[in-house]
Amino acid sequence: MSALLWFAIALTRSWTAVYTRGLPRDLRGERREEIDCDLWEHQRLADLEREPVTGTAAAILLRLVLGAPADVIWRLEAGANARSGKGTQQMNETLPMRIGFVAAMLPLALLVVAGVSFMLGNGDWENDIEHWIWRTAFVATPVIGGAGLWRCATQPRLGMALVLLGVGSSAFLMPWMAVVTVPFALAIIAFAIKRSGISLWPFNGPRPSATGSA
Amino acid sequence: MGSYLPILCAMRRKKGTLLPLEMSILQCGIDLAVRGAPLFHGFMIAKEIKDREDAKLLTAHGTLYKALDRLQKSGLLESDWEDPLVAAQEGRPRRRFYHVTAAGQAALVQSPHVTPQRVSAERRPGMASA
Repeated sequence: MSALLWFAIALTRSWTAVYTRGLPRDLRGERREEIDCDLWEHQRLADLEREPVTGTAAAILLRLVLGAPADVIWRLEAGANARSGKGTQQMNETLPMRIGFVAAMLPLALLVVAGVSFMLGNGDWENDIEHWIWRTAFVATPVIGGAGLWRCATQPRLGMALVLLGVGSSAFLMPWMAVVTVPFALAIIAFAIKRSGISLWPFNGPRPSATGSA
Repeated sequence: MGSYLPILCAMRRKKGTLLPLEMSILQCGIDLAVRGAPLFHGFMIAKEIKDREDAKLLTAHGTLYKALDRLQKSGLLESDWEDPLVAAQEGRPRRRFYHVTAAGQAALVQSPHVTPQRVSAERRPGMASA
């Protein structure tokens, strides 16, 4: 197996492990097993059809990235019944969460700085409109992502929507850097999920039963 | 989320309507059944959709399994896990097999988005029609 294919499979499995964490065991196990099966079948078919390994790896990565928003929405829905919703504020005031917040904000801040320097520079652009769209996007997307991360603690849904929009778009602005930007984006989204405490997020335990809650 | 992003409210579908991907899953599931393979797993249906629609990419993991989950919850699909021993003997992960229910077939025919070709495909000999 090539390193790229190994990376694509490992990244998909890791992402699945992240977004299913905290779900009831059965649900979590089923989703992970289903993704494992999918990856195995994909690889097997690629072998049978003698598809280039890089093509298979790229297809797996694309399927991961394009499906990530649906994964997050599915996670929200799946976790809704066991949602505790309590203690989010307290949780975000702990030292590890504050460190995590700064760590998640850093790459976004770097992107803003890079975007501003890009704005001030004179790129080799033939088309002014295209020039300004790119310049604006480079600055705006990490700002939107950062704002979303900030708002996650107090307005979880709005925060998550902004994080998905901003961080997701930032990752796509530099497709040639996808190997770096996509894992960063997934990590920031995972942290935003945790920070928002919207529902059963990765580090919260499931409520034993949806009935009889006080 | 709709309260923050009004566009999502507009995107919310009416109860009982099928999304294009859901229609594709049901249609491909029915086609597979006609060809003698009534049970399908996630990757198999993704490949079938890709071939059928002549798409460049397979349906993304999250999108596909979310749709399968939704269809199952609506009673349009049913699923069973493969015997772990069979999977272990073949040295691969266990498959989750889905099949289109009678309600799924009916829902596809009744869907307002269904195209004439889909309806005619639905009325192939041997397949139940609403």
